[in-house]
Amino acid sequence: MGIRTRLMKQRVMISLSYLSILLTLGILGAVIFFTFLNGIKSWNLAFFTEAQKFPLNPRQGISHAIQGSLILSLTASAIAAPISILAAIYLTEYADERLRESFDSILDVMASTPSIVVGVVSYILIVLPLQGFSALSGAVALAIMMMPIMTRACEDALMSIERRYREAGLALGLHKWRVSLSIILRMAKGGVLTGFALAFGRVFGETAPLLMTALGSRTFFSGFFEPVSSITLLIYEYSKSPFEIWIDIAWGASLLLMLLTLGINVSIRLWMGKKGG
Amino acid sequence: MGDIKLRVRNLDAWYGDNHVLKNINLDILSRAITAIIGPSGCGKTTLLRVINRLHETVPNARVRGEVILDGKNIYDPDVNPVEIRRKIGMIFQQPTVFPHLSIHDNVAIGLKLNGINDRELLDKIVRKSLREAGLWSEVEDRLWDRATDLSGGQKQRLAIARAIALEPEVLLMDEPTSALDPGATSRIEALMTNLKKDYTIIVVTHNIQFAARTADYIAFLFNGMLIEYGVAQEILERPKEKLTERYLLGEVDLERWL
Ligand SMILES: Nc1ncnc2c1ncn2[C@@H]1O[C@H](COP(=O)(O)OP(=O)(O)OP(=O)(O)O)[C@@H](O)[C@H]1O
Ligand SMILES: [Mg+2]
Repeated sequence: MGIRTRLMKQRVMISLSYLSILLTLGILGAVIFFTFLNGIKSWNLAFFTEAQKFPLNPRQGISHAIQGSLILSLTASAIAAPISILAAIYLTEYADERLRESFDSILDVMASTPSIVVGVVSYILIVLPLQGFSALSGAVALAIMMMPIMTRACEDALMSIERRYREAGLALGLHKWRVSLSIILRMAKGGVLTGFALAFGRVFGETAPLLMTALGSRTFFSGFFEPVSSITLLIYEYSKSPFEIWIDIAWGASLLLMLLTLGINVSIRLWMGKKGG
Repeated sequence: MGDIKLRVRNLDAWYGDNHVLKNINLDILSRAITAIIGPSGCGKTTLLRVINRLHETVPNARVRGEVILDGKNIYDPDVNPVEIRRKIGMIFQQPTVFPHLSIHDNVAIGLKLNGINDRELLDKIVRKSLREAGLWSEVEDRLWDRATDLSGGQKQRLAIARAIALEPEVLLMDEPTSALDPGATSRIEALMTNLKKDYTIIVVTHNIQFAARTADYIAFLFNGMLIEYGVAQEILERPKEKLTERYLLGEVDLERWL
C-alpha cells in the first residue's frame, strides 16, 4: 500500500470519528433542546406545589411525584447504605483475597442486571407476600440496585487506605472492628459518600423497578405500605394519556428529572475534582 | 539491675516460608532502655511486632515460642491480643498520624475509642501527653488543626504522645529518629530518657551513636539470630563476638564472620 493511500485512509478514519462525535453531541443537544422547549411551558408555581388533579383543571402539578421520588430514593439509600458498608468492611478487612474477588465478580454482575429484572424479583419477593404494591417494595427494589454500586465504591475507598493506619489503630489496643468502623471507614469517608451519591443518581431516574412495586399514585405519600408516585412513573403515565395538559406536564417533569440527574452528577464531579486537587 | 519486665523464650517467627527470627532468648529490664541494633532486614521490626502481637495480623505470618510479660506468656490461648496491645504501646518506623483528625484528637483517639468520654479528663490527658512528648509548646495554639500539616519530627512526637496517652507499661519504638535531623533527634533522646522513669522502652535503631547515648542495654541481631546482648557500654566498648565488633566498625559484608 502506497503512502498516499495510507494517508487517505487515515484522513477518512479521522473524519468519520469526528462525524460520529458530532452526531452523538447533536443527538444529546437535540434531546436537551426539545425537552427544554416542551418542558419549560408547563413550569409554573402550581407545577411545583400542586398534586395531580382532573385533566380539565389547569392548576395541577407534580409535587406528589417529587415527594415520592425523594422518599423512594432516600429510603432505598437508608436500606442500602448500612448493608453496603458492612459488606464492604467484611470483604476488605476480614475476607481473604480470593473470597473478595469472587464477591466482586458477583457484585459486578448484580450491578449490570437489567432494572426490569430487579423489578420482577422485588415483585415476587415483596409485593406478592405483602399482597399489594407499596412504597416499601419500591424502595427495596431501588436498594437492590444501589447495593452493588455502593458496596464496590466502599470497597475501593477502604482499600485505598494504607495498611499502616490499620496497624496504628490496632497498636492502640483497639479491636479490629473498632479500627475498621471508627478509623478506617472515617478516613475513607470521601470515597464512600461519592459512591453513595453515584448510586443515588443512578436510581433516581429509574422507572422499570418501580412499575411493579411502587406502582404510582395520584396523591401524596400515605404510608410505606401504600403505593406512591415518582417523577418517572408520572412521566410514564402522563405521556401515554390522551390529555394535552398531562402530556405537557410529562415534558415538564422530564425537564426537571434531567436537570436533577445532571445536577447530582455534576456536583459529584466537582466535589471529586476539589478533593483530588 | 532492675526487675525483668519481659522474657522472650525460644522465639521463632516466619513470614510464609521466610524464617525471620530464630530461637531468640532475651530478658528486657523494667524502666530501662533496651536498644535493638543490626543490619537492615535482620528482623528488628519483626521482633517488636512479635512482642505486641501485631505480627500475627499479617497474612501467613507465624510465631512459635514465648513472650512472658510480668510472668504471663502473652501467647497463651487465654490471652486477648487486644489487651496486650493496650499494655504495650508502639511507635512505628514511618510516623503515622491519622490524617482525618486534629492534633488533639490524634492523641485522644485511643482513649475515646476505649470508652473515655469525659471532655475535661481527655483534655487533661492530651495536654499531659503532648508535654511529655515534648510537642506541647509547638502545637498548643493549634490543637484543632489537622495533624497532617506537622513536620516529620513533630508527627513522630505526636505518635509518641498518642501512645503514652494510654499509659502503656512497655513502649516499643521502631527507629524513631530515622527521618529526623539532629535537633529533632536530640529532642527524642531527651524525651526517651525522661520516659524511662515510667516505662520500659525497647527501641530499634540503625544509629550506633543514638544507641550509645540513650540505651542501657543493647541487643545485636543478625540474620534473625540474637548474636550478643548485654549492658550497652560493654557491648559498644568490648563486644565478645567478632560479628558484633565488625558490625560496630561499620563493616558491610558480615556473613564471613558468622
Ligand atoms: N510483611 C512482610 N511480609 C513478608 N516478609 C516480610 C514482611 N515484613 C518483613 N519481611 C521480611 O522479614 C525479614 C525481617 O524484616 P524486618 O522488617 O523485621 O527487618 P528490620 O531489621 O526491621 O529491617 P530494617 O532495618 O530495614 O527496618 C526481611 O527479610 C523482610 O524481607
Ligand atoms: Mg525495620
